[in-house]
Amino acid sequence: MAIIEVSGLTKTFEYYKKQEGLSASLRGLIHREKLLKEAVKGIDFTIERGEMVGFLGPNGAGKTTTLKMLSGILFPTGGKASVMGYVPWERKKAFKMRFAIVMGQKSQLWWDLPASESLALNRHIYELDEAAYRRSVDELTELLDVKDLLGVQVRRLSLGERMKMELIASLLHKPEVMFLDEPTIGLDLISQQRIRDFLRYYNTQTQTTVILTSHYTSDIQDLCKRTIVIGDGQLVYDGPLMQINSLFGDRKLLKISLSEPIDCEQLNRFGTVRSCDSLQAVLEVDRGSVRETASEVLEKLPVVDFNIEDIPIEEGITHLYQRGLDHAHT
Amino acid sequence: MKQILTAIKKHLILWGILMKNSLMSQLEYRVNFYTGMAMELGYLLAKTVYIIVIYKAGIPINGLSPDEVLVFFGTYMIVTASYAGIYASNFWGMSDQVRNGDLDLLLVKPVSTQFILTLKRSDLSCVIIDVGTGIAAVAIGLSRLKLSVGILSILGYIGYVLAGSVVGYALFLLPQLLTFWFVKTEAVSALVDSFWDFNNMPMGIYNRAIQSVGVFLIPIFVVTNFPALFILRRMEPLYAVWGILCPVLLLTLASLAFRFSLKRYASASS
Amino acid sequence: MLIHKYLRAYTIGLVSALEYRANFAIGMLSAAFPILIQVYMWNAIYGSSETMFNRSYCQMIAYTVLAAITSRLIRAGFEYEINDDIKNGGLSKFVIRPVGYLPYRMSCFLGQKTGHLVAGLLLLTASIGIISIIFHTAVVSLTGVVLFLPAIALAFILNFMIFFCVGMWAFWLSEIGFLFEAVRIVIIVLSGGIFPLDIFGPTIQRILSFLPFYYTVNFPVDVLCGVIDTSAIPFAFAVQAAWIVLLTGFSALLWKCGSGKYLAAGG
Repeated sequence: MAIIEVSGLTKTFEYYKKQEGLSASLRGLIHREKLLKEAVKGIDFTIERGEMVGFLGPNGAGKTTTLKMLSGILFPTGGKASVMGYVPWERKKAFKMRFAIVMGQKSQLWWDLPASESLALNRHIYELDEAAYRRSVDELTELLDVKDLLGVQVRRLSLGERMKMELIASLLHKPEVMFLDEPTIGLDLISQQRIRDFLRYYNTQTQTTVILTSHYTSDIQDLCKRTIVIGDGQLVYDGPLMQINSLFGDRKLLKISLSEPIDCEQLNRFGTVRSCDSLQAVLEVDRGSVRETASEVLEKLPVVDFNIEDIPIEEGITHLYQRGLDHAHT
Repeated sequence: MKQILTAIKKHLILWGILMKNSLMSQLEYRVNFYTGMAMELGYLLAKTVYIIVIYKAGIPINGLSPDEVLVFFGTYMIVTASYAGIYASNFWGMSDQVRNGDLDLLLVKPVSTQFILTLKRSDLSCVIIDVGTGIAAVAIGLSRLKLSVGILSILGYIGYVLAGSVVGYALFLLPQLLTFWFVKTEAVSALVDSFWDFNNMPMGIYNRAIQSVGVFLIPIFVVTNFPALFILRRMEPLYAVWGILCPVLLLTLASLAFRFSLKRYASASS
Repeated sequence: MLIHKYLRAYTIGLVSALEYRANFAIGMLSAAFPILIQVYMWNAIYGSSETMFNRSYCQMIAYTVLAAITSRLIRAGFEYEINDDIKNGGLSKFVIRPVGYLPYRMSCFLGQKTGHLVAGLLLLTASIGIISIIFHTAVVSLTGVVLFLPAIALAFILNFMIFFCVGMWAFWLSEIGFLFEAVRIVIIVLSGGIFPLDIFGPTIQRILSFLPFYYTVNFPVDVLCGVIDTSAIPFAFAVQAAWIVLLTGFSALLWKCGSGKYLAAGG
C-alpha cells in the first residue's frame, strides 16, 4: 500500500476584496465583497514508502497549500488524502508522532536560546527517552557538522546553520514521512549543497518518505527521482524531472562562438535560431541530427568554440505551467 | 483514565520547560527584564492608591473594614500574577501568531494546541512582584483583623486562588478568539485588559444586579473576590459551590470555543 | 521664515495622527471601566459622609471622570519617537540643520494632538453636561471654564516638557525597555490622573505640590470644578509657567550634553 494517497484534493478559500481609501474601509464594515480562490483544484497522486518526491511550481501554484493539507494544518474543501493510513486533518496524536514538516520561512526554534534548548523541548513533546534522544542528537549533529553550535543562541547562527538545526529538531523523533517546504530558501550555494547532501543521505539510510517543495529546480533535480509539477492548482506533470523536456520534442542547444561576424540569416538553415549577435549564436536542433548539424556548422562557418547543451529544465517547466493555464482557460 | 493522567503529566513537564525557556529568554535582555519589573511596580503603585483611599477614608465599605479590603486587594494581586505573568501576554500575542503563520508549526506537534498557544511564554518577573506584594497585603490584613487561619483555611484559599486563575484564563481567552475571525484585535485587547481591574475592589461596592452578573454570567468576581471571601469567612454556600463548578464549566466552554475557532482557521486560511 | 519649518512638522504630525486615531479612541474607551470602578467605590465610601478629601460626592464623581479624560487628553507618547531618533540616527539632521529639535517635536506633537484636543474637549463638555443632569447641579461655573482654558493649555505644554526631558534619557541609556511605561504610570498617579492628590493627606500633598505633576491634571480639573480658592489660582499659574521655563532650560542642558555625546559617538 502506498504511504501517501491523494485523490481529488481541493482547497478553496474565501477572501475579501480590499479597496483603497477610508470610505471603502468604512463600507467594508457593513458589506465586503467575498471572492473565492481555488488554490488546489483536485489533484491526485500516490507516493510509495521511501520515495523522495519533488513538488515544483511557481509561487501561488498550490504547493504549500497541498503540503499543509497533508500535514493536517488545513482542511481541504474536497477530496481525500491518507498519510500512513491516517486522514491528516483529523490531527490524531499518533499521526503527529510519525511525521514532520519543516518550512523554510518559519522557525520552531527559540530565537534567544541555544538550539539545544529547543531540541530538549521537542524531546518531551515527542516523548523520547533520554538515551534515544542523545543518540539522535549525536548522530544528526555529526552528519550536519553542527555539534559545536548546539550551545549557541539561535539568533547568532547563520541562516544555513539555523536550517540545519530546524532539520535536527524535526528529525529527532524519526518521522516516517517528512514534508519540506522550501528548505533551502535564501541559503548560499554551499549551504544549499550541504543540506541536499544530508537529505539524500538521510533518505537512503532511513527510507524516510520525503516530499520537498522548492523553486530552485536544482534542489529537486539533485534529490528527487520523481517530480510532481503543480501549476495553478493543478497537477500538470508527474514523472522524472529530466524527461520533462522530452514532452516538448527532444531538442538540444548548439552554442557557437565565431571568429568573424556573420550574417544571422545564414544560420536559419541549420535550425531554429534562438539568439544571434554576429559573433555568438544559439541554435535549437533535433537531438537526432545534432552530430550532422554540428559538423556542418563547423565546416561552413568560422567557428572558434562550440558547445552542445540540453535545453534548461526550467524552460520545459515554464511550458508545462503555460499548458496548465491554457487548460484552465478552455 | 491512565492515558489522561499521562497526558496531564506530559503537559505539566512541558509547561515547566516552557517556563524555564521563557525565563532564560528574558534574562538575555536584562534591560527589558529590570524595566519590566519597574513597570510592574508602577502598576502596583497605581493599584495601591485605591487602598490608600480606603484607609484614609477610614470607614467600612458596605460592611467591610479597611483591613478586610486589604485582604481583597492582596488576593487580587496574587491572582493578577497569573494574568500578567502567565497567560495575558500569550493572549495578546495570539493574533500575531495567527497572522504570520507560526500557529502552523504548533498545529503539527503532538501536544494540545490550546496549551502550547496560550501558555508558551511566561513572565516570571511579574509573578515575583505580584505574588510577593499580594501575600504581604493578605498577611497584614489578616493579622490586623486578628483572624486566626488554620491549615484548612489556607488550603481552601489556595484552592480558590487556583480556581480563580483558571476562571480568569478561560474568561479572558474567549474574547481573544476573535482573532481567528478578525486579523486585528488590539482594540479588543485594550478594552478587555481594563476589564481585569473590576476585581481591584471588593465586589460589595457594586449593586446587587452587577454582582449577580459578575458572579454568574460573566464570572469576573469569581477570579479574585471568591478566595478573599473564603478566607474572611464571608462566603455564602452558593458561592462556595459555584467557585468550584465555575472553573470547570468555563474551561470546558473555552476549550470548545478554541476548537471551533481552530476549525475556522483550518478551513478559511490559505 | 522660521515658523514655516515648524508648520511643516505640524502637518507631518497631523497626518500621522490620523493613523493613531484608533489608538486614541481605544485609550478613551478603555477609560470607561476604571471610571465605572471608581464611581462605585466612591458610592460606597460616601455612603456615610457628606464631604471627604475636600470634595462633595458630586465633585468627586466629576473629578473621577474629568481627570480620566484630561490625563488621556494630554498624554504624550513621543518619548518613544525621541528614543528612536537618538538610536537610529534620525537626530543627525537636527544637529546639522538649523531646526531646533524641541520646536520640531513640539510642532509634531501639536499636530498629532489637534484632533485629540478637539475630541477630548467635546468629551469633557459632554461629561460635564451628563454629570450636571444626574446631580441636578452645575458641576462647573463659568469662571471655572474660563480659567480652565489657560490652565489646560499650560498643563499641556508642561506635560510635553516633562516627557521631552524623559525622552532625552535615551542619550544615556542603551536600551529603554519598559522604562518609559513605568515612568508614565508613576506620573499618572502623581499627577492625580487616578485620584485627586488630596487622598495622600496634607503633608504628602504639600510635597507633591512642589513637583510639576500636580499641575498637569489635578490642578486644571480642580480649576474647572471650582474646588480651588480663586485667590490661589494666579500663584498656581505662575508655578505652571515656572516649571515650563525650568524644564525648558533643563531640556536644553540635557540636549547639550546628550547631543555632544551623540556627536562624539559618531551619530
